[in-house]
Amino acid sequence: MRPKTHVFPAFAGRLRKWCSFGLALLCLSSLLVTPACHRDQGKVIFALPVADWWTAAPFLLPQNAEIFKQKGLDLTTLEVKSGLESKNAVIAGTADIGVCAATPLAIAAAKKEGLVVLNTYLRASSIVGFVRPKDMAPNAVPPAPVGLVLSTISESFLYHYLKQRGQEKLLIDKQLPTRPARPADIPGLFKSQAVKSAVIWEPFLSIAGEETGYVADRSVPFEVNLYIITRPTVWNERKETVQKFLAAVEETCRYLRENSDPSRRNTEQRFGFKADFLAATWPLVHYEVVWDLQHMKDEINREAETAKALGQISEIPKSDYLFAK
Amino acid sequence: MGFADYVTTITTGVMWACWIILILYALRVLLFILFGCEEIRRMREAMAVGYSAVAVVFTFQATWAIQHFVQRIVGDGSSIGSPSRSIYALLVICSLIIYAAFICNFSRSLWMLKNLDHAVFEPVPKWEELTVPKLKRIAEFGTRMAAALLFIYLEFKLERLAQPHGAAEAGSIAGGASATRPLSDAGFVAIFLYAMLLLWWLSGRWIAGKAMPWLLLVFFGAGLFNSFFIFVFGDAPVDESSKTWLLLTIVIASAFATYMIIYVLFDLIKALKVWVLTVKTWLGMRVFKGPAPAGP
Repeated sequence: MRPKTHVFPAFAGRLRKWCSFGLALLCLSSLLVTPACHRDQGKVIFALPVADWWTAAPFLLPQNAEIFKQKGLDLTTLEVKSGLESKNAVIAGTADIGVCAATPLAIAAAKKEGLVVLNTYLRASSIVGFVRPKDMAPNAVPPAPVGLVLSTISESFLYHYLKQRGQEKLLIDKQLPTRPARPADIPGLFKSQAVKSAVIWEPFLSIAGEETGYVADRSVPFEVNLYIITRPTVWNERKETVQKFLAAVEETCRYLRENSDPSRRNTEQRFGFKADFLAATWPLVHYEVVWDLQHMKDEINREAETAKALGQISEIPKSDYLFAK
Repeated sequence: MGFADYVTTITTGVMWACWIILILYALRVLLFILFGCEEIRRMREAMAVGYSAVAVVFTFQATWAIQHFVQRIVGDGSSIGSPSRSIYALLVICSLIIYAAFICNFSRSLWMLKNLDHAVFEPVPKWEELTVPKLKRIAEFGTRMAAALLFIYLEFKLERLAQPHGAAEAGSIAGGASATRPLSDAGFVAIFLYAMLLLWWLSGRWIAGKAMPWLLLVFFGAGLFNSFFIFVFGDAPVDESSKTWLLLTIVIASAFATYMIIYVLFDLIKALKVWVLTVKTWLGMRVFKGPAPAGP
């Protein structure tokens, strides 16, 4: 009997090798993906901007874990640096739920990034402000370069401040030199004299304001709301879990309101701040999970107009879809 | 359901894949220690088990940082440009590949360092004899030792990344410290690690001449490029002006990372083949009372 031969033995051998390699990879991937696909309905990944005490305070209470557990939730907290990062985490899928301010939401709406606003979570006044030289004249344009956190309330605040003084063109036409930075970098930029002023929120506003020759200026009224957000698919497919999450957050907020002083001390401790570091700024923030549709719409529209003026978006978005809830 | 709804699943899958690769390499090292050494030096083997175990634990801990790594790259980088959703998907996929390549290389390093400890370097026959001259030995050992130290230090940095303490960071900034940059710091250490590995390759070239594999040089070069990427973009705010650079470099970095992963997978497949053949031979000897036919 003639031995079995192949026209292209080398090619057949290589083909066999690649086929077995492919099959092995396929088996491995199915082995990996099958258990990973099994997802506990009560499991929630929450992107928390933990660097800012005012966004994180309710989630750092010692009672927090127990409250979420009682609601049947398995909460995993993904620590992020800002509300913008939290929003990005939700859109990218690294988290299910996040919190962010109106500015990133307005930009997200314009780009049709697919978000649902669940509720307002906190309302704050004077939590964002200027770090400026002590000798700066009232109502003056802040000295450049100005430290800014792009696409956030920091940039929006500066725009509104300049607009009220008829100077917004300085920012729109980029005549006012700015220095983009992460929030935590702002105090360091003053130390290295890389910026002469900055627009930033707490606690970096207070920290940077302690630099010699500078002051934290909270005199410009600017309301900040933080919204709890998720993806439409998470809301549609895991509505019950999301509602349990909201109920748990409301409970932690209520606890915080009713136990304000111990909660402040706990926050100071968790952040490693000196005693009473938050005494002045703590009352500026009100935590309450509320559904105030018109207020949300108004604020997001205001931020959309700012983003359009700054050239970040080309038209004012119809933000109705954000409130599909 | 969009891509974003599968990100957690994919991340978990990649983490499992990293664990499997780590387990296989740890097993390979253990089998080498138990059965592979021609000459048993008990103290040395005990030390080998010790440092290999430390490296395995650190690498295992570093795998938990995968979600944070993806988040850091996605965090700032995707606030820009349009169409955003495809940019998010691209950033997630690329950052997963890049991180997996790092973990794969750490796992592979366990095996490579253990082999070199026994003066064995598989691609170069008679490595032990070639490294007899004192100067060559110093060059090879010095770069290898420095790389091993940096390797442990980098894993330590990544392990820290897996346990972020953002709240404590704000407190330390209030106390006068600077903001931390865990990812950029890890990238900075990784630059030195891969530079040292490139120097090790050069010392090998001096020792073994043309027998030193070029593909390994490309492997280390790819690691160096990825380290630069992490150092530059890991903790930097990204605006419109740096958007193109970010997207361009992340695509190149993930292409390099893919090469690194394939290199490691082929290495593992070769090892698995040898294991299968050994088991077949053993079964042949035990069950059928005769040696199994030679494999391919």
